[in-house]
Amino acid sequence: MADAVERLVNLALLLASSPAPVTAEGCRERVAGYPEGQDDVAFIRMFERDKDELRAAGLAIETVRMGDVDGYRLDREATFAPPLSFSAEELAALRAAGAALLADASFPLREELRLALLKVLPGLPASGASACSGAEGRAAEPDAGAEGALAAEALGAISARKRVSFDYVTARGDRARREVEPWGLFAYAGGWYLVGRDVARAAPRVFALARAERLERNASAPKSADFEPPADFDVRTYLRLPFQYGEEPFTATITSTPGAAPRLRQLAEGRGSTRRMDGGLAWDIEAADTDALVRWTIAQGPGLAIASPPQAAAQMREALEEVARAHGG
Amino acid sequence: MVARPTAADRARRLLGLLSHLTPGASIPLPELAAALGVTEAEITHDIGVLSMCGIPPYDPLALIEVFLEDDGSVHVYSELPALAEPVRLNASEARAIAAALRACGFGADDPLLAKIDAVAVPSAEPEDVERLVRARAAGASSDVYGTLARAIEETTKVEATYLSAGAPEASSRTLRPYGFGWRDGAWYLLAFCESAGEERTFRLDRFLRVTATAERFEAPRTRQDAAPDFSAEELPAATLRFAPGVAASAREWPGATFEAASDGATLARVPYSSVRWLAREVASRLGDVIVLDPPEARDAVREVAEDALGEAGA
Repeated sequence: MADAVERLVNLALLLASSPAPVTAEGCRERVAGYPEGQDDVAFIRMFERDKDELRAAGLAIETVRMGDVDGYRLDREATFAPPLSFSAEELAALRAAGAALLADASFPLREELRLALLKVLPGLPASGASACSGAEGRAAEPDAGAEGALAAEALGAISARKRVSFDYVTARGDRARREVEPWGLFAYAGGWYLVGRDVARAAPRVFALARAERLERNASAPKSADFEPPADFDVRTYLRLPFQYGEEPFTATITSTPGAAPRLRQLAEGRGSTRRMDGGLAWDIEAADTDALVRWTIAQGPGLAIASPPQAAAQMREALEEVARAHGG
Repeated sequence: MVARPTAADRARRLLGLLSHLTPGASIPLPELAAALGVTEAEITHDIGVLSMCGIPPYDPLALIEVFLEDDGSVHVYSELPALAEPVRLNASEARAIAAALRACGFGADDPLLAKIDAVAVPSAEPEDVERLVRARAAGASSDVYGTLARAIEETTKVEATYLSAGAPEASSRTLRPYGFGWRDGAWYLLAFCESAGEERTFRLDRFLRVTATAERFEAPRTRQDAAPDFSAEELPAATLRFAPGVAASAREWPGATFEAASDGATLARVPYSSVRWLAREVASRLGDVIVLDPPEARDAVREVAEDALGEAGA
């Protein structure tokens, strides 16, 4: 194992320090770590894999035709980063984001984030006494790590355009194994959601990874794609508010008291349209699930009410009366 | 369930480390291990491997001169034979940083994201990240995040307008920010609130505005003091009843413990630092979840419901 690590680092150093392109044979002779007396076929296979690994690490190795052999060298422009200059706030933000997310088992891109910070920050990422996450308790929750691992697997399949299958429990409690062409991933309120085409239903669906298990990628033909996502796919269109998932959309109006208006504007995030009303705010927004709308409006309060549609407003009143009664009212 | 690192993974880590090995540098081993996300034993082994690497003819002048000394630090004795400059981010690394920054509220057109794109490999398409993966905490703002991050590092006070959970209006306060935490998709700040005269935990998406000041304060002594404490040991706890068939998860009720009741319901002990938070969460469950005790929590739920009815009737 040490040999392979040494060999890769030595190959990288050689290519980075050679002014002229180096042939495969030249690498074989000059890079410490290629086994003596290895047969040519095995060497070429090892060498090709090594070049792929170094390319994956960010070294742009280009092929140069030299007479009747190929030579290899680093495209320095494509390999080395231009000088970076971050403002003090930007650096602080990167360090803080790094420290907190690296400690959260549910963030699926931690290893890549760690390597990225190593490349981009002037000091070592974990250094500096400032922001840190204290998320030890979080990391101990088995669910967080499991969901992060599922998200990482899913992300790999999304990039490679390979189908995935997984055991899934719907919000209503139905269990089944699903087969999906994964298109994108989003995080919301601490959970990861996979967006893709449900093969059996031949339609796009959103899956909560918290209710998924045993996610597997289609292992056949790993280098060729199983599908093409729609050309205009954008995961943001699937990032809806909790009350916007459902079969029959309608327009709702949520109102706020004057004190709650800034909060409502923040929650709206530019979706729907807002207008001033009685010193507060009225927000017209598309909804598709009355029950979820009522729950959301209560949860995001105080100071929020449903003005329309009347059935939703009535449902909210009835539900609140029931809650008050159940708690001694 | 992370797979064992391959030789390629380890080589990638070492290559990423190279630009930090400036001649004369001396890095404590624990710091190096933490930066690479490995144990001290692993990094000790890898430093040994690195010291055998170099360029032909692999004589002492051509090797990487880095050694773990008796003082527990890794010393760098000379310039690297090559690769001393930082390498560009590959596509997955660029995506990871972009996702992390998006989670802090940095918008797609933020200059910081453009700077990150500029140091990624040409084939990493920034639109790719946007279209495929979103990890953004609701309502978070990069201004708030950036201002607070800097104030934490520089130990300077901030003036903040904050809307507490359950409060009808935002209030202004002077804070001494200590550190961030990230939990369940939301950012939190631990800070000493001068108005309240004690430490509080704030959700970042409840800040309406944060302004930096030049006034410095004395930072808390240790890292543990600097981060929000999400542990539930000293908090009061309420007993909640979930109706039969209603899902109950620790994700929604952090720190809760659950047990099945004989009638198919679920009982939960739920710690809470803010009774108003608990009351609102319960009220929003529309009767699926009920507080059994303590009385202050039951009263709080009733008040939330009655206030909301008053607002709805208007």
